Amino acid sequence: MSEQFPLLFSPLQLRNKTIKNRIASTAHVTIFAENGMPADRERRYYEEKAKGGAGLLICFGSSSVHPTSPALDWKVVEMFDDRVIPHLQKFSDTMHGYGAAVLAQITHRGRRGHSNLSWQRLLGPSRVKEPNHREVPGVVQREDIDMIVKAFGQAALRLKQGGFDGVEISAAHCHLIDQFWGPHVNFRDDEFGGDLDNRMKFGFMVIERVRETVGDDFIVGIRITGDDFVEGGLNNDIMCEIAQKLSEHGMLDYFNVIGGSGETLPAEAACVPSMNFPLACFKHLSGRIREVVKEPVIAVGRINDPVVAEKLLADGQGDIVAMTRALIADPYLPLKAKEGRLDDIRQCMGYNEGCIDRQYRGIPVGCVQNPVIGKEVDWADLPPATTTKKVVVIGAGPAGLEAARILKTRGHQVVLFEKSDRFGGQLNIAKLAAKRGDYDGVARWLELQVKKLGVDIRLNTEATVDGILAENPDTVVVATGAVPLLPPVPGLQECEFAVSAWDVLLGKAPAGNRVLVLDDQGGQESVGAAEFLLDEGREVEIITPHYSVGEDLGPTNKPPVYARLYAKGVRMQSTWELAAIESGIVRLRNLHAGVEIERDDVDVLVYSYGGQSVDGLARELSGKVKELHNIGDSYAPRSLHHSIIEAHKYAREI
Amino acid sequence: MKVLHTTPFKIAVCLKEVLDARLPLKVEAKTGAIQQDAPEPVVTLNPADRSALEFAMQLREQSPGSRVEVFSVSDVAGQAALWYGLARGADDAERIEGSGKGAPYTAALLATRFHKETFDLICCGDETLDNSSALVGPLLAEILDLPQVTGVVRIVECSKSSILVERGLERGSRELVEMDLPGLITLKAESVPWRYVSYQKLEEAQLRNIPVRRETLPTSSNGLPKWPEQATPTAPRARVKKSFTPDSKMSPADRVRMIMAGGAAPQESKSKSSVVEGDAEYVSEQLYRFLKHHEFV
Repeated sequence: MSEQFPLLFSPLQLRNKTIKNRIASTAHVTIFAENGMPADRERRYYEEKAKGGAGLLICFGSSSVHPTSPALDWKVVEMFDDRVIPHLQKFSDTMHGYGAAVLAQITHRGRRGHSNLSWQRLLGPSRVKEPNHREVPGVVQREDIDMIVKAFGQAALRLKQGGFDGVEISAAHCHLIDQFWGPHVNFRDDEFGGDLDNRMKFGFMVIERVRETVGDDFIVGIRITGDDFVEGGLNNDIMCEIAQKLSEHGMLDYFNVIGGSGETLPAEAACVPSMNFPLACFKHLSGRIREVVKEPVIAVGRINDPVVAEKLLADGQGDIVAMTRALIADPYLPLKAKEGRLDDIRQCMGYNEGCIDRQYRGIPVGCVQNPVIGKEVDWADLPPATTTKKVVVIGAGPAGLEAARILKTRGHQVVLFEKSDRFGGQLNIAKLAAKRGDYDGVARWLELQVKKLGVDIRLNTEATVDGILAENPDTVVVATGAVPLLPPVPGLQECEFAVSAWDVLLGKAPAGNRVLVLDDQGGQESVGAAEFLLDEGREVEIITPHYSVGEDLGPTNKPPVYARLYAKGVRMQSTWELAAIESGIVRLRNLHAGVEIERDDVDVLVYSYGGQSVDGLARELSGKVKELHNIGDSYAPRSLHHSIIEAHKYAREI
Repeated sequence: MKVLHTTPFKIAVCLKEVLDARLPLKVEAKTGAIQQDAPEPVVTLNPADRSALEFAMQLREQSPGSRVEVFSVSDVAGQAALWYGLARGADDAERIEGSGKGAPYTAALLATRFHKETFDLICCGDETLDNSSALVGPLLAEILDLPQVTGVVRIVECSKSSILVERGLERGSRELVEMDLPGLITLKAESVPWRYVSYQKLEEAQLRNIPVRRETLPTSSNGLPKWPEQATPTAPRARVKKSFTPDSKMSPADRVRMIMAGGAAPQESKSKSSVVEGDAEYVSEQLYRFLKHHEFV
């Protein structure tokens, strides 16, 4: 037993299975399934978690029990087809090899989705559309209910036949079961609508059928929300009542309690709380459910650290902790925590753009910090270099740090130059925005790792061609980053009241109350700068040439940012671009109509066009060293995710 | 205590060494049980057992010719309890060894001994400092089919055929109980003040050879019912610590905002504060209206 984490590493009995510790990876969509089947990519992704010591793996988010569940957008596992069984067997054998208990989630998404991929009609309890997907479903008929209930049972049986230890029925995110529960979705006047007992009838039929089909020696759990954050929906009071009834019914083995729902933009963002939320932000929800049920409860929501997890267990706010994203950032978190190597844990910072925000857009899961995620088949192992080289890495931003870490791990001799006095590069600016303080976690971890590995670090040292050549390197990796881009918009370069979003965060904005922010970059830059100035008490308006401000922010990042901006009184306008600045007057052009307006009420103009590569050194070195790689923003300014992946890729190949 | 007859009594006292609870104890997170296998445990005679011993000794004083024998189910490290018993004046001591751990085993092992020899009175402590199960006495009486009174705080009178005692109840209430002898009583730690045992007596006791009886319990359920304590201990369900929960009556946006702010109250809308500009007369007029409107004046 771990001295520091006695509760986290204590076993727990779930029906006939002993879970070896309290760390769970909960069900999430990965977009890895091939033709609806979990293939090697999926298996290797989970294998790392099993190898890393997680006790409970709940796999295959939202796998369909029936073809009418609209799930092709997420390429989920199709649990309605017997051909899945051999894949499941191979999958469960792998996980059992490491002592992990393996479950899978099954669901029918009901009205949550679009029918334009499968051309199967959507089904809902009533003809009420989901605000997010906006497609009106058809009404579930009595024969549909029998068909879907049977399909749930069959899907669970396939899992049992495939060697799984159990099944999780999803009644969260406003899928079909909780669509029936919701008084704002279910307006039926038959036995499945009306009072709560009637609305719960469909769910009970599903649970009973699943239990009947799989027998007594199989875990059957349920995922519910603790508060859906939807007007007139399933708030915490109603959910406590529902959970109590489910518990009294007595057929379930655990409750997995999320916050939020998939129905509205803010509720969907809350489902997978980003760094805008505090750690363990939904422990009150799991705690309140746990007070009314007798079964173990899984607590979720930004539990990124074993210390937080242990505390949550001690406070009785859960019996198992879901550390899903924490296990994506570092699948070896359980082993490291058990061994007391807390510093070595690559901590999830809740950035979300690498994992869930990709999944919501139908792009396979990754991790901005951990480049191996999704590429386990090729990258899970890191073979040592065949010949040891001397490598000079220039720039201690995320790209340079990741390159130095991998190169040194593989056995190369590494010298790291950094012209400033600190690690992290642009992260040191980005983390200054509101609620972005955790953003430099990636650099903090990398810094510690390169120091531990014994990389020759030269801070406060500007790399010059001569200085680099004096090191006599075999290979040079340039990761010199970027500076803010200043495009040739007439008058912008000379404008005295114009300032980059980066400089705003550094506190260099000129005085003036009326601020116009130009958001071309589409990410966190402009909204971060805007909020910074709103917090200073200035009036802020954001314009963007895109369809929305912060166009590229993911579905879990945009709503919290918007919530704060609007609460602080921002104004926003889309599809306008900066045309010119002439003698203090800002001219804006509408992207569609081409019409221009003149604004003489701008005291401060904040521009955000993204970065411009700092690649002078890379160009100078060209032809002067044996092997040269220009990586990250100094190659082309893109995201943190790009930088880390690119650095990792090149550092593997040197 | 009034002793009505002067016929000699034959008294057995059951003793146990326990971890000294005045020192820091470690609790196993998994089971909630006290960790018994500390590297260098500091042990003491269980206080309630000490009272049981004291009562027996005082009874012997008042009825000459009585005998007091002390027993302990323990390994060799536990014989210090018996040394103390001898030092206090017990006539004989015996240590019992056997397989199994926990109250049912202890009771069953003691019972094998008392089946062989009848005592007028068996005295036990009512509970131990470590596990506080308070099971050994009652179980022993049940196995031996003896009458029992638990939680005794005072002995009123004692005769060869019966004993009159006070039991401690809740909120300081007492219950007067008469019990036929032979029988078993368990005494509370505070029931009898302890007398001092000299160091010399302790040293003398430690020179005595204490006989050991090794007992094997029947493996079948014969005579040894399956008590709850024999079940595998599981972690106690941690109680839920209350944490901030937004009222379900609040709007969803406010609920989310409060959670994001870690429980802070929702931000007041900015429109609630306003700036008044103008000359002194105008400003004071506006200020007066504001105060009047909000019923400050």
